[in-house]
Amino acid sequence: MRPGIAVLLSDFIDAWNAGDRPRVADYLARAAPDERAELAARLEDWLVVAPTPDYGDRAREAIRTEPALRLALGEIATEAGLWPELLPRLRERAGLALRDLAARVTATFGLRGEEERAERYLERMEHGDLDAARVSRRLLDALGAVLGVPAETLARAGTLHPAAAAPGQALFRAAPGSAASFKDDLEALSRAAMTPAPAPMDELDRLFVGGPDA
Amino acid sequence: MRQCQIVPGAHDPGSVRLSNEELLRRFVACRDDGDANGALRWWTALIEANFDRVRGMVDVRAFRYRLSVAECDEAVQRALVKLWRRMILTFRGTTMGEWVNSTASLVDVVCKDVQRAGARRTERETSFDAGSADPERANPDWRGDELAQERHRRDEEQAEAAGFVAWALPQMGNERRRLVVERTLDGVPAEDIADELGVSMDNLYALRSRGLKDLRALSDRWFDT
Repeated sequence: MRPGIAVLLSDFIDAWNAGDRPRVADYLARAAPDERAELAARLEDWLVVAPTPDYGDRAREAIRTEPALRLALGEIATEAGLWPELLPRLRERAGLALRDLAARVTATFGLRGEEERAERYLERMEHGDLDAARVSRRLLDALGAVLGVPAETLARAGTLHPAAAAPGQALFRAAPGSAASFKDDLEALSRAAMTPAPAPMDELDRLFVGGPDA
Repeated sequence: MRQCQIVPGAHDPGSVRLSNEELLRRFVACRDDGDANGALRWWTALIEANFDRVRGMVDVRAFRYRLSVAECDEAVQRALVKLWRRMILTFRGTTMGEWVNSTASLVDVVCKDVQRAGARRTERETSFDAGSADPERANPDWRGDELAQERHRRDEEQAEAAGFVAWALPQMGNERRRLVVERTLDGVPAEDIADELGVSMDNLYALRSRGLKDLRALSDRWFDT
């Protein structure tokens, strides 16, 4: 005979409080089929109010090595900011095509005729190809007003992402072929020195890549 | 909400016993200072302490939405990543009560997404009501985020330091159920509570189950007002 809902719920709670890491699925499987939905609801009630157990060392280590947690942390660590996640959704929510948004931006700053360039810049923002630290606060204010979110949220989404893990240690010994590599570097520097300076930024450039205070 | 103790892991040399609320506060402080690595550190500690809660919420919905084991694992992972994004972008709560409720609504959205994606893959018919043909539900994930965030804004006004449980326990009309729930939340095993109250185990099971149901009803009042 299968145990009733109240017994299973109570067993789950005791196992939870003891830090034994009970699985909901296991308890649902033990219930009579026609009682599983009710038990699921009761277990959910518990999970909302349950205290965090005082896990032992082994349980904590097991949690840290849970594949879902490791994969999630790996995904988070490789995210280059959240603009690719956030900006297209906000724009779609506002019912705007990229060119519409570009038109709003250029209109806000009196830059009529620059819509195509603005659209390309915005596209780079949405793809995460624009350095968020160089986008001006004025632009974020304007985008926030059009998209219906605080500029602070946009700034945070662009810039707040964990740095890639630092290498364990640097190796200062010369690697094979380093002389040739050094020569290549020198040549690259020479070419850079001979390259004419880029054209000065115009107002649109300053908005997108001129830095926070531009 | 109650102060839930965890011990951050050995990989965290500055570890001390920290409550969930303290981890939440430290996460928000780092986030608001623009310290992404600090935010991730405290977020990870918070998630490690609450991983089983999130997985349990997914398991409940996996049963409802008939997710496979693989889909269930995928939902846990996606829920964690979305949780990070939401907490970085918009979470303004300060209590674990807010965090848990926000997480529950997020898990629900994620599980529906996973179920929908699975249904598309296998061309199964889906039955839940978030049909993609409805333009207002064209991006259910976003809608869910918005609703949850709106709930947080309302919650902020209510979420005093004492928290939901401290408010809810005195509201429970049945004294025996209240005592059982209170002792349960203190982590006391069923047998010990039954001994304290002088009731049979069968009675204890029933009191515990009904008491938690009462608490859930109060939770709806607390968060829907």
